[in-house]
Amino acid sequence: MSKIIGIDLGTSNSAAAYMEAGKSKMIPSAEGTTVVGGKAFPSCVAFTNDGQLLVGEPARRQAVANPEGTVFSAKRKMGTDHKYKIFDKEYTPQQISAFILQKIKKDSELYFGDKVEKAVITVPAYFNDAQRQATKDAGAIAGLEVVRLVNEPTAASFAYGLDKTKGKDQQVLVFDMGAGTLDVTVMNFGEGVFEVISTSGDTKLGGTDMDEVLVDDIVASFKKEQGIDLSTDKMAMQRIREATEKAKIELSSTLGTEINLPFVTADKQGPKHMLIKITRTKLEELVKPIVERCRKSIEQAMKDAKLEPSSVEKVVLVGGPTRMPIVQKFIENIFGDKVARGVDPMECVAMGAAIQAAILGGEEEVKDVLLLDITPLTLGIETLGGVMTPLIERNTTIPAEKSQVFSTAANNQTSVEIHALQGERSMATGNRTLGRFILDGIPPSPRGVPQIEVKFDIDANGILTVGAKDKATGKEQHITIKDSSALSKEEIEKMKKEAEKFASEDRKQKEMIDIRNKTDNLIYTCEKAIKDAGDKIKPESKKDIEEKIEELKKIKDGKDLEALKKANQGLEDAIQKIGAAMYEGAKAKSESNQSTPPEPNESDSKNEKDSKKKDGQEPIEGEFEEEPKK
Amino acid sequence: MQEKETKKLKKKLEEERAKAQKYLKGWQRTKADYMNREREIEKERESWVKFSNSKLILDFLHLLDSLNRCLMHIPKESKGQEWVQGVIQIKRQFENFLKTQGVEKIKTVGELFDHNCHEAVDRIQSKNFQNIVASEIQAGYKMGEHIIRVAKVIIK
Repeated sequence: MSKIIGIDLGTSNSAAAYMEAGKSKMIPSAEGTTVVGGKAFPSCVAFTNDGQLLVGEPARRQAVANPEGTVFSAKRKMGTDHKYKIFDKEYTPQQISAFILQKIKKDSELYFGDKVEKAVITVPAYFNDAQRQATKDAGAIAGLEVVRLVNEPTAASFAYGLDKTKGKDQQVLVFDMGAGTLDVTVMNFGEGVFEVISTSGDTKLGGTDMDEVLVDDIVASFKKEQGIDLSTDKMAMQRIREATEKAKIELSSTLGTEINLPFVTADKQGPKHMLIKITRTKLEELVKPIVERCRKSIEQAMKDAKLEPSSVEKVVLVGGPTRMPIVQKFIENIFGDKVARGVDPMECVAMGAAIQAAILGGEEEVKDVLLLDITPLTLGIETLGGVMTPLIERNTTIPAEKSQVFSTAANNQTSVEIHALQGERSMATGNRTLGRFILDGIPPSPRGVPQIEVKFDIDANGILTVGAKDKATGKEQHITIKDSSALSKEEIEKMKKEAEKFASEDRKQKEMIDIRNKTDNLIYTCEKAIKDAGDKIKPESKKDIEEKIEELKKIKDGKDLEALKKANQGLEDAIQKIGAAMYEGAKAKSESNQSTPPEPNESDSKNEKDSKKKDGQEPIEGEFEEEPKK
Repeated sequence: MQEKETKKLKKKLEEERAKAQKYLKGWQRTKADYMNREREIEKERESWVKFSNSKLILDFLHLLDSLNRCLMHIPKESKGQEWVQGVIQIKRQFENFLKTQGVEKIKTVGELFDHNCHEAVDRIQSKNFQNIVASEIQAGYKMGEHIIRVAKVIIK
């Protein structure tokens, strides 16, 4: 079954989205999105005099070159009998809109690699029957079956999940400020349906007005300072507009920025530079009159709905300009803190249309049956020194399976205890015990040799099976833990908070244990090396190492991390010297035996030492050892 | 009696079979979705690397614009000076850097207007309109087929 997509057919910009795995996603434009912009493209259609049809960004780019062949904002004429006369041919507004829809259809098909034949299209809440019919016709011309027209404010509310609010009826106000238009809609939501109560707006008010006042102000202050009017200088204006747009966006998150344009122009005295500091306060002062103009539309909509601001339960913001703090403050001053957050205001209409499309396509039902859960907390086992070693990280979608190979911590250890844990703390004691069991019958062998595979398998119902298998004997043990997700929401939150609180303390403790484990390993390696080397090492070197081992053993269980690190390094260096000396000896021997020495002998002693260091560490790396069972 | 029981069981079996089939299909679909997503992620990753490089370059282009404007304003009497030559060499370094990144300047003046890589900012009104680029307001750049920044131009 082909996908049903959601389309936001806007006055200035259009965009499309679809649902995947329960989430709405934007469909990118085929010509590639602009690096700075979002995924929407201009609602612009053009015919070139050589007969090409252009839609979107390419059409906008050539608008100045070909004004008679370019159409902007055909949406404003939908449902009227207006005709666009382009190169002796006439087009209806729905035909122009159809070109935009056709582009979306084509781009989506390219994106999915599949046919797209159905769509949900959004329309302003105030659209009358003729305008709605025209939109449907546009879809049909483009080869799309319009399964439903959805009001733009309704779609935005869907994107914010307002339809999921259970319980009593609620009043929602949608404030949609686009590049050139403002739409205010008051809706009532009850029994799963959004009902439009009133609409109001201003067709000549939007983000573009804000850009203009800012640019004008910058040009005026430059004129005041330098006496040069830049408004007729195309090149300078281009740079100013770009820099202003950037500054405006920056000022949504910072309090001050600057417009820095060196060599912006020149006169007889030489080049002139522009360096204007601009603060958020200044920007807000400039756009305040524009923001204030929105008040009229809000008041009108509220009056028509016979509502007071206090009886509005939720406010939804749509459109780029609503990202500006001043706009948000303005809304909050009227309605209080009721603004729904979390969705990109420029994408929410298309996303809401996609959600509606998925519901109509029956995908919602499928989702309910196949609703996949996640593990709220990390699952792992306790390893040497009481450390929690995670196997399944939190937020993993279940069912999931993960296994890891561990080894023993002592020579001739014949059993290991598997202690399954749940939680975010790095030390086992801070986490919740899910269960424990013992795997025995491991053949006696040196530490680190046995391979014990530990497997965590959590099924769709959250039932966890922990198994351990000795790879040599094939012997295995397992336990099943039924309540691995039986914690209440509060308990989970508490555990997460504790983990954050103790993070640094745990880290220190873990570091101490890590270094202790490393020390144990090092001592073992060194003792073995001395034994293996026998008389190949000089007695004084042997004595030095033995002394160092003794020293390490003494401080190993102490609390001085730095001293332990230092002693560790000392022993490492010493044993490396021995290793290097042994290789030297071997080299001398092989040189006397062979005429052509092998490559590594070419290296100088420093390199030799480095490579030795790596060799010395190799057996330790990547190995995890189980708590020894006495 | 037994017949009735058998019939009931058969019916139940049919239902269970249908259910199993439905689940299997769902399972296959999910697995396929997953594998397709994996491939998509790989593609997305590649394009992201390219994309983020070009975004970085885009930000640097403003510096090159300023440097170019600076060079346009070298006072006549200073043109031969060594330090001016040094600044010109800095510009060359910049251009070489772009070249090694595979970034190319978009041709403008004298070219036929191309909506794929040019953006018309203005049009010189004349009877003999040829739709060619008269002057460049802001240089444009591309990386292979990917346009990093369109060239802003005046056409005639």
